[in-house]
Parts: sequence; C-alpha cells; structure tokens
Amino acid sequence: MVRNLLIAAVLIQGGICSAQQQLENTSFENWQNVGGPEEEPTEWSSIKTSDAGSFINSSAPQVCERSTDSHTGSYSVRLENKSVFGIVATGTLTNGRAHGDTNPENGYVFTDATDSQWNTAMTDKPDSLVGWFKYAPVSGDKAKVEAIIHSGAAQNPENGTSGNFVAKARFTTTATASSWTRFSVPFTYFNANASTHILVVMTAGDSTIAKAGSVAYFDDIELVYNVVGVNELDLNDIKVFNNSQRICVDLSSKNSYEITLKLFDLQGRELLKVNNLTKGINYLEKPKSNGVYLVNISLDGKMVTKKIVINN
Amino acid sequence: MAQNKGVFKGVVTDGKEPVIGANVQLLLDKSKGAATNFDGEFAFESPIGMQKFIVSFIGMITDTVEVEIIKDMISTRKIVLQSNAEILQSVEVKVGKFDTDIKDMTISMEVIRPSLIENKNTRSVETILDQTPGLNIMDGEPQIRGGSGFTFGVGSKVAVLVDDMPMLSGDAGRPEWGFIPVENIDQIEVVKGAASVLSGASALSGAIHIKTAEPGVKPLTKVNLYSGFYSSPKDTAAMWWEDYPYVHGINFLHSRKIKNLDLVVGGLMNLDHGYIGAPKPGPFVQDSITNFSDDQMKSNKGRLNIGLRYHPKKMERLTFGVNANVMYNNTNMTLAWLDDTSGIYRAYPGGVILQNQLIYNIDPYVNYFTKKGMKHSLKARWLSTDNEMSANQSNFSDVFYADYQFKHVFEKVYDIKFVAGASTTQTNSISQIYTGGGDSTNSVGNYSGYFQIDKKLLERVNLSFGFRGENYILNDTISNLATIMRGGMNIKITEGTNFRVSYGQGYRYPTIAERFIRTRVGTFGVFDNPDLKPETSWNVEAGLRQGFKFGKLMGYLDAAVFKQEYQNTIEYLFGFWDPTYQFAIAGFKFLNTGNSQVVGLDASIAGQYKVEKKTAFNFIIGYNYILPTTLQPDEVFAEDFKPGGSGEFSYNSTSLDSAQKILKYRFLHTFKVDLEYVYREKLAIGTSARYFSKIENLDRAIIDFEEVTANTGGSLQEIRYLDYYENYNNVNLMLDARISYSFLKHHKIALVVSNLLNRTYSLRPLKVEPMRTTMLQYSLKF
Repeated sequence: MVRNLLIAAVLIQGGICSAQQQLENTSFENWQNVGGPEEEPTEWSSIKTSDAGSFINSSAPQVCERSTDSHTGSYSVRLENKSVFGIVATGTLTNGRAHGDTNPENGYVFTDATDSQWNTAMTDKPDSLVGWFKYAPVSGDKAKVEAIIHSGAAQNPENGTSGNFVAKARFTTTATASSWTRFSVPFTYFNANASTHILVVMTAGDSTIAKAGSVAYFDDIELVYNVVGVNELDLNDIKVFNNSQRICVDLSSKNSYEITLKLFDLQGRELLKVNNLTKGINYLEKPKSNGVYLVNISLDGKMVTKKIVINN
Repeated sequence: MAQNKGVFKGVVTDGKEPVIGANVQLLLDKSKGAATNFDGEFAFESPIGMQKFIVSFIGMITDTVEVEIIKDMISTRKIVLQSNAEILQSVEVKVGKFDTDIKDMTISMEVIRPSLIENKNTRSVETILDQTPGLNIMDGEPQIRGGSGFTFGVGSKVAVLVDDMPMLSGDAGRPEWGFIPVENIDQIEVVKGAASVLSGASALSGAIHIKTAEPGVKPLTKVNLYSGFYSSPKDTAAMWWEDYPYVHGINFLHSRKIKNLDLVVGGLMNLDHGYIGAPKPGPFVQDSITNFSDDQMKSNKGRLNIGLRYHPKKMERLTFGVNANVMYNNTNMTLAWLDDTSGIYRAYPGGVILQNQLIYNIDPYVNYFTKKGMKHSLKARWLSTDNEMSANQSNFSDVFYADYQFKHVFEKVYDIKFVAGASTTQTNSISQIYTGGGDSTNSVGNYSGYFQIDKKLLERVNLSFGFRGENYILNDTISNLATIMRGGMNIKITEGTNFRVSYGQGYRYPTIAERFIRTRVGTFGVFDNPDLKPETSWNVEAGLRQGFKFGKLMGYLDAAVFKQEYQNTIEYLFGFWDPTYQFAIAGFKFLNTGNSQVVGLDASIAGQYKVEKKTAFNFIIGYNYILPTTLQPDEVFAEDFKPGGSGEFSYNSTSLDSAQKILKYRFLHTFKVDLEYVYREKLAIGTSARYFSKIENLDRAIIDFEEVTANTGGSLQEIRYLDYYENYNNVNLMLDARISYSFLKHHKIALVVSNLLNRTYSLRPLKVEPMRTTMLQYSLKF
C-alpha cells in the first residue's frame, strides 16, 4: 500500500518515474538574496555572482529576478538584457557559474568541477531537455537554452573545452511568446564517454549581439530519459478524454507501435491494462466509481501519464 | 649714502579741515612714508630727485603728487584731497605691473575692496569672488567669461596669484583658496580675458590677483570673532545631523612699524561642522573605502601668517623681507551627492575623500631703487603642499618660484614705461597617484622672460604692448617652447569716458596631475595621458567705461564685448581607456578636445547715491552673457577601447545636448548684484544676489552612469542627477543679506546670512551648495 502510494505520488508530480539524475530547483521555487542585487534561484547563478571579482560584479547589471508570473508553483525566473555604458549584458542564468568580463565576447558560463556550489553532477544520459518559457524579444534578438553534458571542466562558449563534451541540447527562439510555451530539444551525443557534470545556460539574448530590453521567463526545466528509464511522450500527440460511456484515447497522430495503456486509481491499483492499441481513437471501459484516475501510456520505450476525471 | 636725501614735508587738508591720519608714501618704495598728525602735517626723509608720492585716506580720492626733493633741503607741499565723491571711478590698481588708474587700463578688470570681504564675513576667499561679475566659482573652480568647464578643480584655467606670485598647487594646478589670508587682503583684482603675458601661465581665460596688506604708518589691530550655524534643509528628509551644525571662528591681524622693521601677523581658526554628511549607501552597497562617520566629515582649519620687511637706515634704497604662511586643514573633498532627494546633503559612497593638509609658503624678497628711479626687485616663493588623503590619494608637492623684475620710466626716451623680468618655477611632486610617467616622482621646470611697454600719447591715449616667452621642461626630458603677446589701447574720449581695445594670448601647460594621474577609487579609474598638449587661447575685446554724476548719484558704467578662442581645450572624459581592462574597467581621462570659442558681453554699473554726509546707498550690478560654442562638433579627438568596437569621442558624441553646439558646464546668463545702505557710518544693511541661468550642456556620460548604477539592483549606489537637472535646476537665484552696527568707534557687530531663502541649489552636477548659514560676527579694529 505504501509502495503504491509512492508510485502514485511520483506519477502525479512529474509524470516521470525515474531514479535518474535531475537538475536542481528546476521549477525555480526556491530563491536566495530576495530583494537584493544577487537575487537568484537556489542552485543557479547569474552574472552578479560571477568569478570576476567584486568590482565587475558590483557594477554588473542585475539581469535575473524572481517573477510571480509562473507556469506552475509560485515563481519563475525572469531574465532581461541590460545595457552597461552601451555594452549589452545578456540576461543569463546557469547551474554552473558565470565568468564576467567587460567585453561580452570574453564572457562565458562554466562548470567549476572543484566546487560543488558551481556544478551539477551528471553521469546519466538523458534523452532530451524540456521546459516552459515566455519571451518578449527586442526585434532580432534570440533567447536560448543550452545544456552540455561533459566530463571535468567545461565552458559555454566552449573555448577549448569541447574535448570534454559528451552531449549537447540546444533550444533557441526569436518569436514573441506572450503565454507560457513548451520547448523540448533532444540531446545530441558526440561520443559514448563517461560524463561527470551538466552545464545548463538560459539567456534572454543572443550572446554578443543581444539587445537591451529583451525579456525571457523560464520555468519547470526538466531532463527526460529514455530506454533504460521511462521517458516522456509528447502530451500534445496523445489526447485522453472521456465521454458519457467510455474513455477515449486518441492516437491519431501516432503510427501504430507497441502501445500499452494502463489505468490506475489514485491508490495505485492497476484497474486495466491494454496491449497493442492501434492508430486512431481507442475506446476503453470507464470505471464504475467517480473520481480521479491515471492513464499511463507506454510507447516505443517512452511513457506518459495523464489524469482523467470520471463523473458518471 | 645719507647725503643723497632730502625731506618731504607738508600738510594734507580736505580744502578746509586738516586730514588726520592720512598716509603719505613714496611711490617707488611704499615702505617710506608718514602719517599726518592732528594738524594734518607730515614730514619724512626721501631720496633726492623728482619723486612721486601717494597721498591716501579712507573716504578720499588717493592723490599722487610729484615733488623735487633736493639734497639736504626740505621740500614743502600743501596737499588737498578730494572727498570720495568719485571714488568708484578711481580705483588704483595695485597688482598689475604698473600703478594705473583702472579707467586708463587697456584690459577688463574688476576690483574687490576689503570692506566687502569683511562685511560678508568671508571665511574663504572664493566665496567673495563669486560675487564678481564675469567670474563664477563652481565648487572651487574659477570660470571667467565661460572660459572653462568643470574638471574637479584640476588644472585651473584661471591664474591665481597672491602678491604677484602663483598660488596654485604645484602638481594639480588647484587653487588653494583656504590658504589665502583672507583677514589680510588689501585688494583683489580680477583680470578678464587671456592674460598670460602679465600673469604667467594658466591665465588662459583670466587671472585673479590678490594683494595682501602692508603695514600702514599707524599700527593696526583687527580681531574678528564669529559663530553661526547651518539651517535645516527645506526638505526635512534631507536633514542628516542631530548635533548643532556649527561654524565657529576667529581671525586676527596686527600690523605695525617698529623702527625700520615692518611687521604683519595674522591668523585664523575655523571650526566647521560642514553641511555634507558621510555616505549612507543602500543595504547592498559594499563600501570599504568611504565608510566614514559624520564626525569625520567635519573640518578644522588653523592658519598663521607673518610678514617682515626691513629697510636699513643706511641704505634707504634697499628693502627686503620675508612673508610666511602656514596652514593645517582637515577637510573633505566631495565629488558627488548620495542622491537627488533625501541624500542630497550626503556624499556618494566612494565619492568623497578625506584630506589632512599641511601647506606653507615662505616668500623672501628684495627691492632696490637706483638713483635714477629704476626699480629692481627679486622675489621668490617656496610653496609646499602635503595632502594626506584617504583611499591612497595622498600627494606631496613643492613649488619653487623666483622672479626678477626691472621697472623704469624712461623719461628721455619718449616717456616710455618699461617693465621686464624673468621668472622660473620648479615643481616637484611625489605621489603614488601620479605614476603614469612610470615613476611616482615628477617634475616640471618653467623658465620665462617677459616685458611690457606702456606709452601715453597726447595725454589721452594709453598704448600697451607685452611679450612673454616660456619654456617648459617636464621630467627633464620633454621641452615645450611658447611665445605669448598682448597689446592694448585706451583712449580718453572725454573726461569720464574711456574706450579700450585689447588683444591677449593665453597659454597653459598641462599639470602633472592631468598628464600622469593613474589611480583607482572604487570601481572606476582615472587614467594618465602623457601626450596631453598645452592649451592656448586668445582674447579680443573692446570696452567702454563711463563715469557719471547726477546730483547725489555717481558711479561708473563699464561694458565690454569680447571674443575668445581656445585651442586644445582640456576636458575630463569618461571612457574605456585601458585596452586590457586590468587596471580599471573604465574611468576618466584628461583629453585635448579641440577648438572652441566664447563670444559675449560684460556690463557692470557701480556707484553710490549719497543721501547726506555719512549716509549713502552703494550698488554694484553686473551682468554677463556668453555664447560658448564648439568650433569642431564632429572632430573625433579620441577613441577608447570600448568592448565590441571602440567609441569615438567628439563634441557631439560626448554631449548631452549638442543641438546648439554649446560647451558643457557653462552659464549663459549671470547676474550679480550687491546693494548696501549705510546710515551715518554706523548702521549698514546690505544684500547680494547672484543669478545663474541653467547649464545648457553636460557630459553625456551622466546618462550612462545613471543607467548603469540603476541596473545593478543596488550593488552600486544609484547615481541620480538628470531628473534633478530637468526639473529643479532650471535657474538659480541666490540671496544673501547682512546687517551691521558700529559702536564705540572700534567695535562692530554684524549678522550675516547666506542663502537667505534656504534654497537647495546646485551649480555643478552632483554637488549641492550650502543651505542657509547664519553668522553672528563681532569685530574689533583699532
């Protein structure tokens, strides 16, 4: 019973059932130095805590702030590009550390493998990087999310450290997104080497040609795993709903693979299991009692869980 | 020797009554003379030959009489002094190379009399200078006719001379106002327009000559006690102190003749609570440099001066002496305010320097008159400044100045007045902030020679021509030669109407500070510029001086139109001057910014309305209009190492408002008024007003500073000026008032209020001027 409850809890929280390594504080609910110039999400860092020393850090603009405009939970992170004597400091957030420099061309983020404050361990092999964003670019600007799985030291831009890179995922957008929008990008693996860390960076602008005034919000950043773990399906591709008689699972956008569907109640009891669903709309019998149920669909090694409410 | 003497004897009257206590002095050697007794009589020994004597008495027009003194004989004269009916027309100029009546001069000059200095309870000389038409003092930095902007007091473009010798700090060319013995000033003369021939280098746009008083024939003792306070600012949120905001002080002067020795002793003690408090930065600002207490911002100053002059009995053509002055001063230099509202009377973190200053000068001199009336004088000054400053800004400098001068009227050669001389200045500076030349020790040597000839034609026309050659040697290697000339003419059109035209050149060699400063305070640096070129200027003007008398109203009106041109103007500009960004990311640097001009006009009217004997209404009203413009708005005079592409520096790119081509930090219109009503020579009520129009143009960098500091989220204190500039700094009208009452002959009590309306006002960006100060003053003079 306890075990089942745990499973259910995991399913509800993230739709991911996994022991794999994740980034920390990815929904940006926990913050440090709130109200001060070094206001940053816990475990993340922006340019005012760079390694450049107090002179540059104190004169650097505050580009990272806590926002109550969130996708889930209470907060998201707001990044803005700001001008310093005509030089644009890009709104930047990293799970590593920023290297500040007067010249944006010399700025980068890096994993400081010697100090756990400035790194995040990563020995697994996630499949993709997903998350949510809003973006209000000044015309021509480009927001970016980039993750590099690597061993030892690494910088982004790579500047001679690419030999340590194992995989990289990169998402960019130039379009205005005034409501929360999802992104999902796969990791491209360069080699089969063992990794030690992951370096993630989010920016509101296009590095050296960023424009002052572009604003980006990010929330609920996640790593998604496949094959060995349970990876996530694209929710947009599968629609689960119920009509008065039956549960409908729309697999119209999917080719027919080995699709397995399981129906759980909130106590984690498996009520139904159907193998080999087919392309198109599949119909299932509804449970008798009213309540919230979980529909778990496995497809091609990936998995997604959706909630449905039954009200007879 | 003694056989070449005669006696000059006489009586001085005002036409009816004898004048008691009038001074009669030998023009060539003012140490020789006597005071008249109760019967108006005087007698003293004089060298033989045709001699000129100056006869003076307060309230009378100074007269010059020419008498032939014959060996071992008594020459007698009856001298009638005219009352001061036209005194304002006939101010005798004392510091110029010749004793000339101001109305006959070929240049524009304003004269400040010591009475105004005393009446306004002047504690430091720059505050009285600010009342002069055509001269503005911007946070201690003198501007004459808009000839300079603002460079934090470094490299003054106006020469400041005390007793004809320079009084600018050796390394930075900064006027040491507080050091000038304000209790012992005989007269201040302000020369407007380039005046390097007569006043030496740095008289690029003008010169301020301060003449200290010499002992009169009678002993004089003055003691002046004062105590006052700063009012709370109008915006009570900006009030920062809880203790009593005091200003206390005493100054004194004693002068007398003891046989052949003339003695002057003077001094001052001033305790000043100050009106600017210590920085109180926001919660996230890290300030380890200027985390001072308010008590540390208080100022204390003590100064002592002594003058000794000896004229040996057996060599009456010789006088020699020494003047010395020493001051200890602990004060602060505030570069910027905390913010433009409640922090306006506080300093910006990192923007204030505490200063402990020890400064002294020793001036020996020798004068010798030949039998034929030629004057040879040799004078020297050792000026030593030791500034112990916070934030590692300490500096030390010695200036050695010497001048030999020859003066003669060649009666046989067309009656030409001739003056020629040679002077040298050696400046040695030691400071860790002047290391841009590779060494903390720097030196500048100057050698110059000059002459001027004056010639009077037809009793109506004064012609004047002068020339100066200068050679500068910087750190024994770099040498610069320059020649400067001037010429002028004054025509007496009718009695009381004089017309003058003049042309003069100016030359200013950059100071050690401007070339070699390399320092860092807080985030930003100040960068050296060893390639800085000297500034030059010329000034051409025409003026008219008209005396007038309508019944009981008399005075003069003076108007001048002028045009000045400046080349290689040095300004202080913010940029990315270090290609490696290692020393400091960015900062200030002194740069030659090209050519500019100022055209304008000066007009002043001064005079007196005499109600009855001893009751009068005095007025001095001055207006100054300038149009200072750049001649090279697009000229790129510097490029910096701005990341992602260098920044080009031109007038246009560095100006906040370049539309009208107006130079930065200039007031186009200024009005200065001083009015005084004196009742029976006992009660005096006076008021001063100063009006400054809005500064039209500023350094554009101020926008960046505001944006950058605002963007830091509070890790740097936000710099705030533009909002104040747009909304509150449109015009500045300042009023002062004073009332005094004299009693029992020697005593005077006065109440002096500066900034009567208690306005919060600012002349130069990011610096607020004092709120109302009220001062009670007691003077004893006998």
